[in-house]
Amino acid sequence: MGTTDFLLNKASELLETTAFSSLEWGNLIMIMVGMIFIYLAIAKDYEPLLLVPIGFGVVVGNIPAVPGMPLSVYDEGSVMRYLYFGVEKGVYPPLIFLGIGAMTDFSTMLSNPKLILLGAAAQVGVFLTFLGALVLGFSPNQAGAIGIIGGADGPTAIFLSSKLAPELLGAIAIAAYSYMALVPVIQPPIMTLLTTEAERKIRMKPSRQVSTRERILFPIIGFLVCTMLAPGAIVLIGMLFFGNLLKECTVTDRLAATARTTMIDIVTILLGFCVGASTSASHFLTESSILIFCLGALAFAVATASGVLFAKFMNLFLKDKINPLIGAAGVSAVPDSARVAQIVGQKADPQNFLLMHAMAPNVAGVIGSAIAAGVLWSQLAK
Amino acid sequence: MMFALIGEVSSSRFAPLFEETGIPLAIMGMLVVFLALTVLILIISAFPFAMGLLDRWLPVSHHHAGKAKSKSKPITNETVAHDGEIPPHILAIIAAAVFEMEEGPVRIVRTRQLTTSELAWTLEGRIRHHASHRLQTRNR
Repeated sequence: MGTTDFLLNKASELLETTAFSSLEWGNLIMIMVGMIFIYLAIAKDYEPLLLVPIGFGVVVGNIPAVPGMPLSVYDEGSVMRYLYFGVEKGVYPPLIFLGIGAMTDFSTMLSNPKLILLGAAAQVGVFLTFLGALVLGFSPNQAGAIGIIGGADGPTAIFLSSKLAPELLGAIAIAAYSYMALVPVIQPPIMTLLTTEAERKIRMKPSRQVSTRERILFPIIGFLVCTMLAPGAIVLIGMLFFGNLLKECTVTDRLAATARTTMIDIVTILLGFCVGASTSASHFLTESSILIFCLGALAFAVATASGVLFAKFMNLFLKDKINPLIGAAGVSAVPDSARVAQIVGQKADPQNFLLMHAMAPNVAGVIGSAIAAGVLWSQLAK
Repeated sequence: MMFALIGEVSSSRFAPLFEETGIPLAIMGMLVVFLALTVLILIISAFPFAMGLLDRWLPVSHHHAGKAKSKSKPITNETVAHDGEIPPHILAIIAAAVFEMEEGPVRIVRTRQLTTSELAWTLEGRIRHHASHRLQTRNR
């Protein structure tokens, strides 16, 4: 064997140990998707805190593994597998809920409690999508996990799919976060279509001031009520209200500050990156992923429409009318859907400030989607 | 025969809806969500009344207030007129600002002090406004 043959042989062996040898079109497509996410986050400012970790995770997850080396989230013993443990076993979402609780101000909801119903109405999207997924041939567990995309709450969607349909986790998480980033694009046409100019101009009364004592008691009472009626929601609701109690009780400022800054940032990085890394082409580019994306869009649209229409329905009985635009904030997506209500409202009346009113159904939507997830989990995981 | 086949396919497709984990579960789920949140509404609506009773039996003690306020300047009547009211010189500034922005005669019907949560939104707005003026580095 000559030197040339020897070198060619070695070069071919070297090529086989690189990722190029097993690179497929699917991987290239997914790497492009990851890069689009990163572009949208950096250039267009679409949910950058989520899309940058997810986008980079997608790129990492689609570098083909070398045979015999445990590298991806699906390989036993790989480092990525250990990081993915928090997603697979539903550890990260409750920790994110703790941080969300420590950030959330429930006082607008406490000052105008009837707006909580808008958060409940938006959950129609969850259950209608659940039924749609059943009709399309998904199993009840898979349909439940897909339906929760309509709750517009990434951690809830990941938590429920990790419990009910781990095989769809990547697609569901990507769909949920993508549509959450697209809330400013999806919601306004639906809101405008379902409301009249006069309805969009409705000005709501300023809400009353809520005392510190009320804000301290609410997370305790709220937790008891919600978990007694839907015990399946104990993990998510428990962490949400616990975080809120840390914030409101005035004696645990350090814990609340850690939960809403450092801790939630660390968990968001791990969650986003691992979810992205789980979207390797062989697992992600399937017919069911396309269906999940279609159903996710339907879930968001139905949830938005339900909130707006329910606000109009409530107006039939109320003396002080509600601006129906804030019904769209019933899909959680905190605080983007509330911001959208404010922006659409200001297009009709630049002096109308709906943001604080919209925050009430917005945070009620978080509670509502966690309860919906609890019901689906407790009924389907039997 | 073709109609029978279509009927069979559609009935098999929609069959999962009529099982226990179909429409009945969806209806039950919506009921639980509405029930839980309605109970919350009732409890929250009773808060003002309950707080009134609680304040009578268990008055609020400001045992953490002393530490926080020790270094702050004493509040004078010039800064805050009465609880929740806005002092006249601040009102004059608000009126001038509104006149300037609206470019015409205006009548201010009502003013009120912002609550802590509202101030948080104002602060967020300010941060965003300042963040929008990023300094561009120029390559010369």
